Amino acid sequence: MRLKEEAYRVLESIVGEENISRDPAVLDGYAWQFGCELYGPEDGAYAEKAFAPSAYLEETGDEASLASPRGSRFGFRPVAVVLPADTAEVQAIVKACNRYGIKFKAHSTGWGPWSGCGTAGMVQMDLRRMNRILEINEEDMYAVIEPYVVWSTLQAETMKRGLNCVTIGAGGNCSALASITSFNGIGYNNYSMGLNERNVLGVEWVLPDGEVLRLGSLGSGAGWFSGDGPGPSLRGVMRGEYGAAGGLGVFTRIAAKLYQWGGPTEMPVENIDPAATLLKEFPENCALYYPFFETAEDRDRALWMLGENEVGYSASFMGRGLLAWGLGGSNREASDTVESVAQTFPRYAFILVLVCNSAREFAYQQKVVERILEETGGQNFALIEVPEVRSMVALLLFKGGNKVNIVFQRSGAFFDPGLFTGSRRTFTAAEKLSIDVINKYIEKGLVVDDYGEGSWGSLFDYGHLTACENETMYKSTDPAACGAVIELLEDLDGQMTEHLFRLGHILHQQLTDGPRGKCGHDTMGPLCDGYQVWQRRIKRAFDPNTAADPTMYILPEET
Amino acid sequence: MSVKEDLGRMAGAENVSDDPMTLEEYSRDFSFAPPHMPACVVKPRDAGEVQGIVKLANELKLPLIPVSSGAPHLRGDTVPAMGGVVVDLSLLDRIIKVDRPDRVAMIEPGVRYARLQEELREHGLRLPMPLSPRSSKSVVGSCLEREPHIIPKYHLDVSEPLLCTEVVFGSGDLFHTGEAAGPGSIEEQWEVGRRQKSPMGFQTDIYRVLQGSQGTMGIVTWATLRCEVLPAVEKPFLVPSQRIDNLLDLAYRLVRLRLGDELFILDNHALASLVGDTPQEIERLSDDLPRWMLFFNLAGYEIFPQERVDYQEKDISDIAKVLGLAINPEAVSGLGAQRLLDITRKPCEDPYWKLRYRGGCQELFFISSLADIPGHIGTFRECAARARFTAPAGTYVQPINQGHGYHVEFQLPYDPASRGEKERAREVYLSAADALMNRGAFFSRPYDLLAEKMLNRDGQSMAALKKVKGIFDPNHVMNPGKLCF
Repeated sequence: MRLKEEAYRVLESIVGEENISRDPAVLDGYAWQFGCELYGPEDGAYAEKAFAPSAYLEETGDEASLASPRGSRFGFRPVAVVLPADTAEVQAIVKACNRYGIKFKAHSTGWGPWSGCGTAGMVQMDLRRMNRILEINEEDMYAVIEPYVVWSTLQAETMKRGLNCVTIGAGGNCSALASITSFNGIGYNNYSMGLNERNVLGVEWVLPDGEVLRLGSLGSGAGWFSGDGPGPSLRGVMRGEYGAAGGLGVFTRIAAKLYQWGGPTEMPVENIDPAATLLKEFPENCALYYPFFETAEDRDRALWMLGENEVGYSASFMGRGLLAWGLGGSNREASDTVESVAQTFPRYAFILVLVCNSAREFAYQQKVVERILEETGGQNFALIEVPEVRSMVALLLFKGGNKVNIVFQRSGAFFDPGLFTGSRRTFTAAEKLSIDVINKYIEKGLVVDDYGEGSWGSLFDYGHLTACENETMYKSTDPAACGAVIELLEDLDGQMTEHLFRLGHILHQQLTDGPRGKCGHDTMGPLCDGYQVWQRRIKRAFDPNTAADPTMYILPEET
Repeated sequence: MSVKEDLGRMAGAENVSDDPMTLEEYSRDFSFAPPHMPACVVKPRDAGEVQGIVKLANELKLPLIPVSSGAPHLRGDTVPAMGGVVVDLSLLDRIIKVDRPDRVAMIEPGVRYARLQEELREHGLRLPMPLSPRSSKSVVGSCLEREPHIIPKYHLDVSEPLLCTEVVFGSGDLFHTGEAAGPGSIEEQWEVGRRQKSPMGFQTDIYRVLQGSQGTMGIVTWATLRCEVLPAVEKPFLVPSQRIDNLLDLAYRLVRLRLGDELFILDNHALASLVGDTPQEIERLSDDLPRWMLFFNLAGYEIFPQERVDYQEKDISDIAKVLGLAINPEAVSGLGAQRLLDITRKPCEDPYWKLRYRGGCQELFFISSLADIPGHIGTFRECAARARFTAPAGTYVQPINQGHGYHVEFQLPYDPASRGEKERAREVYLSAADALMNRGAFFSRPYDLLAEKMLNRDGQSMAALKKVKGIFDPNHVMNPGKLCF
């Protein structure tokens, strides 16, 4: 599959020859994404619909090699990758793709199978040259950023000004703009700063037809401080709990909301190994608690008492399995931890961080926490008193990212089948259901044994909502293991739906249904008021040529 | 069969009216929107009837004007631009559910603030409320209008406190937004413990499209709202100043640090209108009160409530001292802090506070960055002076979205019986809107005459909105003539 010369030269004229490539080795770099091994068909055969037809694409006889069988990390190879420098170049690329009937998919930092092209024959737009923090406005508390600004950079700059952002669990190396506009990602600090779905003000957005839409105050030239109106808010088209994953165009600049950070402007550390990075000094007016409880009910009661009394900077939880794997600097250490002590870890626990703005506030919050733990029988998990552990965990939670290597180091791959959002009454029940289902697959020996407790998550907005992911680790090169994870995804999604819990990860459905030529929304939609009808109409209205990769958003025709 | 008979068959003949006196009430309001008589008014009793009415409107290409609040209306959004049928939702007035553990309420659009707050109080909850809404104001209507409430720390997003909705789109389709869509019916969701808390759809947030649409996308038949815990201890404060800049500085710091609950700034005219009962008293208070007043209220919740109030008071005192301000828990110029808190706690008694001084009032509101607020106020005053508008115009500044923006509102009182006063108010309204737009004021909720002005500044948003309108209301039956539709 190759892009015809005429189309390639037009794209080249937009970005310059040094910013476009069709070298297969380069292209494969974009096709390689964790999780791709899951969604290829078992037999490696591809339906015709796996290719995006265009008069400007020509077959080269190697189409079969584009097939990504189950167990291969290579997803679809794009026909070209282009690296625009600014919004005008993005717009020109999108217009060219519309003219030539070629689909495009934007890529910022990339994280998972939804980052690559959804079919063969697409142009991948790599936004890494657009990597500037354009403004940090302390008065209105936002930062104007481009797509390749990562959370850790943004956070380092904002903390210098006493502000912070919600770094997501995928880590500080991920694009902040992508999380806020196009995807999702939960983070420990959702507790006090909310989900990033709501952490956006003005947005600059190149629509799938190449027109530039500026949301809110930006559209009328008033600045970045508002993202809604005039009239109805087009943020409702831009995204839901998840973004459109590239299916509605390219976001080129946004104003990301920032929040007060009461901690130090810098946090010097020792060591760079994530397993051994230690704070040189524990910050003033900050504290870390790791209480555990006799029952899930006590844990939940304590969590929601904290929320209702608006105490804490982050309140999150981590399953014993994930915690055990995370404590090891190497596989051997982690294995030893899992086998020797993990089951002695408390089952019902959470981690609470206080970051206060004054000594008085700190004293008050500590007093409230102690009262709540007293009332709910919370006891201190001794492990957190080990200075190295305490320092490492505190740093992790202050920053709010994750020690992402945890989920890759054991077997090379992970997925999050048990992801759900909910509220107070469904939180524990849904988590338990996910553990039960995952354990069935652990017993079969097809996924890594973490007791089914690879879960982690956070409360949002002082406990108004919760989100939980239950990670499952598996061997990515083993088609049987990959098949088991797909089966687990379907099994758990089915059971969640049967129990009427709210699925947190609609893209799972896309992944499992996609290889069968079916759109996941056509499976979920009939169970949820037929929402897919409206989403599909939005896709058609805003992308009449289906130029933006629809595979992780919605296919334009019902399947 | 006539439209009236069709509607009577659906909603009951007693709930349909074409009485000229009744129609006259719906044909105009206090705004400058040109009056138009509707053909009739229908009051549906449930979502099924609403759906039937919308389907009929699609068959007959009949304009529908949804109205959830009672009179007096101030913004022109419920004045029929092209005739049609007013769909008055006042009979849909059930408080369907209040849930203390999940801090949520589900209500129909006919529910007013006073009844809801009373019910919530019994459950130990409260709903953050706009500044002294009129007694007839629909709670759902206010949320759909994105009216800001007065507790900035709970204004997590401009959409707050709206969560899920049940809506009949202009197409006639019934839909549930956010997690209410499923799986399972609402009753089945309740059975497993779900309370329609998450407003988010999977990859769309349709509730955001309904908000700010002035009834042009569909009719909401219930909504869930995010509620908060009722404080156990409270202590309100007044901070007077002759300048607004230092009060803005204090407000910024308090909101950023999440110190305090209710917080807003009023000038002497707006504050006098809010607390005064008669024009004479308002005039006297206007003269007596300091030029600007910041109000904030400290609250403690269930655990160590007094300690919470105490530490916040000390921290705020320190901040205020640096800014050269004094925080006052008692009274300023005869106005007690507790009295103002009491006023903000419940809807306004009739007459509505914005109408008390001259009987009529035109609001002019927008969103601003912090730094631009003093300049916007100056621009407004220049426009008022140029138009020889002599009545005291009030100013209200409300931090929104947890300090990521500020609602700024000017109130132009006028005597509706005086053609001259009304004309001068209109002139200020339009000229100030232009001048403010030119200097960066963002009219995110543009009503009547301002909609065209605002949307013409942003052609791409207008084009995108028209696409959205085509999806949810393909026959343009919902409130035609509003916004850009």
